[in-house]
Amino acid sequence: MLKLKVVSRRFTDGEPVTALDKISLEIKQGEFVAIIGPSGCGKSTLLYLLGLLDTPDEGEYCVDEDRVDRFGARRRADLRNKKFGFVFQSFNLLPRTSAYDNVLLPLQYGRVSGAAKKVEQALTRVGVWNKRRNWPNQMSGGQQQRVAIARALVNKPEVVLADEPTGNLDTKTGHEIMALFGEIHRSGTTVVMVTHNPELLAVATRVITMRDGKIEKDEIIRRVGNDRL
Amino acid sequence: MTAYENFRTAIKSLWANKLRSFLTLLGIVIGIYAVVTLLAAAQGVQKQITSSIEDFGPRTIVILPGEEAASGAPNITANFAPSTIFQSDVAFLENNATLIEKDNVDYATFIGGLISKGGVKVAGLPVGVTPGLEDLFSAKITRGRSISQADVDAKKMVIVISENSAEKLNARIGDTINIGTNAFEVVGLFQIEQELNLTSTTGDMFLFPAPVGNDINKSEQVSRIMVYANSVEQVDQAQEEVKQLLAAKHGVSDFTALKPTDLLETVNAITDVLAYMVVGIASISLLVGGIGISNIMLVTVAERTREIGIRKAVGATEGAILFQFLIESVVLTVTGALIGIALATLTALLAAKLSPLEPLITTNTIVIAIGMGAVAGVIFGLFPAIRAARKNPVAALKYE
Repeated sequence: MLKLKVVSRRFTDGEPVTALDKISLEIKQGEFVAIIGPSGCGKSTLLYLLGLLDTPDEGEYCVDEDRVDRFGARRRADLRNKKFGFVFQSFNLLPRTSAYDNVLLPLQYGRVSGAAKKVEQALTRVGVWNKRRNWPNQMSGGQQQRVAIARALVNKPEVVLADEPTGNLDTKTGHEIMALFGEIHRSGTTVVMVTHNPELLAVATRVITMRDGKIEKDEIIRRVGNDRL
Repeated sequence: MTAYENFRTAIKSLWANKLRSFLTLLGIVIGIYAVVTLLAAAQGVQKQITSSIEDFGPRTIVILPGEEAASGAPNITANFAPSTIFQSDVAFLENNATLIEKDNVDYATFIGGLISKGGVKVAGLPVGVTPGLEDLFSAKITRGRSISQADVDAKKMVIVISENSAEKLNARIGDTINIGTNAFEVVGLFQIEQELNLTSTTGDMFLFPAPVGNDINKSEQVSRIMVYANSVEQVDQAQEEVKQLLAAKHGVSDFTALKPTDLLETVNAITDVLAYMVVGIASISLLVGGIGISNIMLVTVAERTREIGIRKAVGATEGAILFQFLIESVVLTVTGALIGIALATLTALLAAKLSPLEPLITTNTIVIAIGMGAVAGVIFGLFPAIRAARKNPVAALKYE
């Protein structure tokens, strides 16, 4: 479903850095992929590239059968809205905006009908419907991350991309959030997650280890459908 | 995202920074206030002049001494030379013109002389008139009577004066006042309905039978002749006929025959130029206000870089981000315009109450002012909005 062919990404601001170095990778529907590796190895760059927030300097990127690396900004935004949901380490909720309105946002950009029902379902699913009127600064970290997950799920995306989603949370809350991701994956959504959290290995089906912009190791630890290898 | 949702977002964002928003839109408020106030003053003056010209009636043709100026306007220098039109012209037109009302040719004769009663002297404009002319000067008889045909025929030494002059001279009906060495009996008082008139001294006019003026001047020369076309449709032909007849009689075109509408065009041209000029000057303050908008929008975009990243991550297109920030700047400037219009309306009401000016705020002016606000919002908000739209989403999401 997501296919990278010999993809490179370089940054030339300041000292030139090759963040991704000729990476080839295929992610299938229903996988739970954990991307691990030391800081600066290109994990987040890979995630942003997969989520169409960034474009490769070289190589091909196909989503389903489409060469999305050739898409213009408008089509990429549209695909981002419909196909992907993002969850970030620092939650990235809009400040001075209620949990409800934060979750509503992707539906507004997608001009989706029946938005109110969908927002209610998403917030209920992650267990923060009762916080819908609260601003981010009126919620705990765990609650904010749940709202962010609800926002990622509200458009029923095929892929959820998460960048260190438990990085800013205490152990107990991190555990709850990981359980939530497990539940999201079991419902059929593909999950790609950048993490340092070893607990993730309990829920992931595949672990990609990166080093210096390259894939060092790519292990399938469980088959999709929860059968341990 | 719909326009309504963008509008809601804009209001929320501006409300979150109330003081900053208010200070930013002050520039626009002042700019629009200046534009609307000055435009209202110019249009008020135009309306007052227009209505006073229109009081002359659409069929009226005024004949003045002196050759017509190139522009079709009266020859001003002719006012300082002996008149070139005569009582005989009045009779001549009555007998020969076919397109004007036969027995209705009026004329006015100005005379000189100090106006006094007892020891009290006043400045004023003594004018000999034929009946009906006081209507042209917007003079309304408030007491006594006006100059009648009988007064004209009998060359009676009677006079109609303004209430204002009567008060200054302490004159009542039946009293005698002097113009030079000539004594007149006051038979009526009038009030000027239009304060601002082309003949700006109407308030100081002293009206008496026109032939008396000719006797005093010991001359057949008259100062104005007024004829009336048979119909509004014929006024152009009547003007032409009068010109031809008088030119043939005089052997030279030493007079000016004007329709009030000719004057109207001149006045409108002048006031239009004035209006454009004041709006141009006032627009400079709008420009300054607009630069303030641009500046603050740039700050807003920088502050909300992360928000832009988040919006792009959930699917906002560059167009949607551009539109969002443009709406925000337009909401700011249109709000400023509305406040400016409200303040200008208050000023206009106050000016109308406290001064002879009658500023006129038309629907057009309001639409123009709101339009100027909106256009300023788009122009000065465009650059910051483009910057917002083009932000790299990854860099924006990492912005601290």
